[in-house]
Amino acid sequence: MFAQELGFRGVATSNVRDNIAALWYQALRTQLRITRLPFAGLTDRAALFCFEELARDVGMKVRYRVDCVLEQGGRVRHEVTGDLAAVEAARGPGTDESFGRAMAQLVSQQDGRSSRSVAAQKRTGPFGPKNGTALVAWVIA
Amino acid sequence: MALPPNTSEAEFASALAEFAAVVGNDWVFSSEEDVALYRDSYSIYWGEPEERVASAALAPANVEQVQQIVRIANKFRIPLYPISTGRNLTYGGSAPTLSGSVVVDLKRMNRILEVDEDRHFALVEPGVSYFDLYNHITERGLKVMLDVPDPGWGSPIGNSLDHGVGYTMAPFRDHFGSHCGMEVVTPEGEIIRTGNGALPGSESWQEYRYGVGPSVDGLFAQSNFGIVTKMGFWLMPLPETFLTGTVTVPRYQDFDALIKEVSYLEDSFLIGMPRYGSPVRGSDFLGGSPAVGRLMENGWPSTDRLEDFVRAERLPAWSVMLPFYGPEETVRASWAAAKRRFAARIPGAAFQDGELSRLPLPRDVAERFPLKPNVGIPALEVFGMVARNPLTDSDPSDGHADFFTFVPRKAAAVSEAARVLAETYAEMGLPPLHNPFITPINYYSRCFIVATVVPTWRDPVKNARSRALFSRIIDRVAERNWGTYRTAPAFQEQAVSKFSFNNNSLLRFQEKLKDSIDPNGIISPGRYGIWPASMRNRRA
Repeated sequence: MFAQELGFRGVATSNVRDNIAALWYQALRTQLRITRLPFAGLTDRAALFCFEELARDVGMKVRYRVDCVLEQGGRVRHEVTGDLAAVEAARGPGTDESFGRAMAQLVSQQDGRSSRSVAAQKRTGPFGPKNGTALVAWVIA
Repeated sequence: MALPPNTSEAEFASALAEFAAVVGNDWVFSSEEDVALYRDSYSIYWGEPEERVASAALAPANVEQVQQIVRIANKFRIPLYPISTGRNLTYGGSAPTLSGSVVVDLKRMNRILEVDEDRHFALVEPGVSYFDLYNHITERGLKVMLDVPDPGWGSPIGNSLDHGVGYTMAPFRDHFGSHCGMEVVTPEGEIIRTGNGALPGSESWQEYRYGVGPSVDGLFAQSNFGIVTKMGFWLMPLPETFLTGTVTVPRYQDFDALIKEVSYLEDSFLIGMPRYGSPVRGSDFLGGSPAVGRLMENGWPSTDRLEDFVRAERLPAWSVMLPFYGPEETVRASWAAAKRRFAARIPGAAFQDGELSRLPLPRDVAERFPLKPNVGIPALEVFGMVARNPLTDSDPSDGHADFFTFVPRKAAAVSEAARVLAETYAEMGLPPLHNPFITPINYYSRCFIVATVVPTWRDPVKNARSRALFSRIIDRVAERNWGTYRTAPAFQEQAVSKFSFNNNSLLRFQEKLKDSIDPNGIISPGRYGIWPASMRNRRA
């Protein structure tokens, strides 16, 4: 849903499940060195961790992130971090597949470049799955 | 914002203005959000006053700018902390050893100056990553193979200067050992070239390491005597093929004979890095299977009990995967010779042939190859494995601090190290992580590493426990006269203090050099315990 919605909005997308390095070193970094456009994702936290570390090469930061936290009983809670406008905009997305669409709408509207908040930076490292955290939506700008 | 030690805000502002005049305003980073990028994501002091944080960062474009930065730093007595890519996580990452230092981020110095496929070497700048060099080689079809660490997002220069390691043949996986020639900016801002690089116009800078007279290259690794701006590396000629073979042995006590045979093959340059395993342990993670957990409930088992356990589990006690590189005829012959030797010396040894791969791998095969680092392909999958593996514990950490202790290449030493680590965890009231089936890592071919992984957190209470554990481990292994080969800044002084022969004469010698070469103490003060005289009172 996330990629589909962004596709409708004319945003270039890429499936990075298996190869973050190829996307970064062979495409994204080169583009970002020329023009620092925001890039966003709906990934696991390990992928975000890698992108955040790599983005230092081009001076870009995580501006906001929406972590899906699985609670007891399978309930999903969304933890929103970053600049206030994005945090407000991200409140209350659905907990089913509409989450991907909601996040796509959010990241295409809030590019984060005006933010000076450090709240979303380096919030965490890679996690295993048993801590109850699943996907995270994010914007690096 | 952190300030450099003994520097006022006004002085720092003046220094930043002078730095900006050299590198340009766009390449001086002093805002909170920019400086935060240089925090160590795995810091064991995260969010605490002791966390090492930068005051600013600079990104010079060339060696001349590095020289000018060094001169300005001397003028203002501002400590610098050079990084290449700054991704040596668990060893400090991009954060300085001394808070308030200005990070010199060499990311813009990212030229691959030369890759010679006939003489098998490369000459690169610090901002070149393993991925960059790998892509350069594969895009041009050059007939050389890299040796890469895992993950591969670091730089050959940074990794080798930190004594990093890889996975192929012994002469190449010791990354500092395979370097040939450096260019260094001294703390006074002078450029020196080592080895044959000191010979003007030399065409063999990357072929003959020593030049004439003393070799000083080692002074620039894990140290603070200069900023390395170029470095050469010997590369392995691209092998025609890659073959693996796995040996298993049935009994616990077969480990000693297994190690001796593997060491023979390794020291004869017939194999690359062997990967030891223990099928009976039942898991690649340190703690092992539930059955191993039950075995350990009553303390460290006797050898008889271990043999009974192995028999009951009906699995081999030990395994080792052997990688072979070269023409098909020689790798198949080497594997056949290896099997003959194991079979003759270890009753019950069994063998499993691996697949032969022709190199270079086609791109689509390379992308999904399960042993990427073994064939010089850099990867980041290790992060995904950690995040997705269901065997990680129920309270995953935010990072980790690895402790690697060196022990002799003997089964008894591996077992003893595992036992010392298990006792240390127990002493600290932690669940057992080490057992008699722990296997060594053979990064450096002539000795073993026995590893443990201490979690780091965003939680200061948990971090305090981790620090206490890490520190106790350093003390306990030192009681057995073992040391470590690299560690996070938080523990560098303690680790170095254990190398105490003759009243720490080695460190005192390094300090004399520091005082002479860098009298203002501007390059990475405190790195690996080497403080300039003016800051020696900071020693813990």
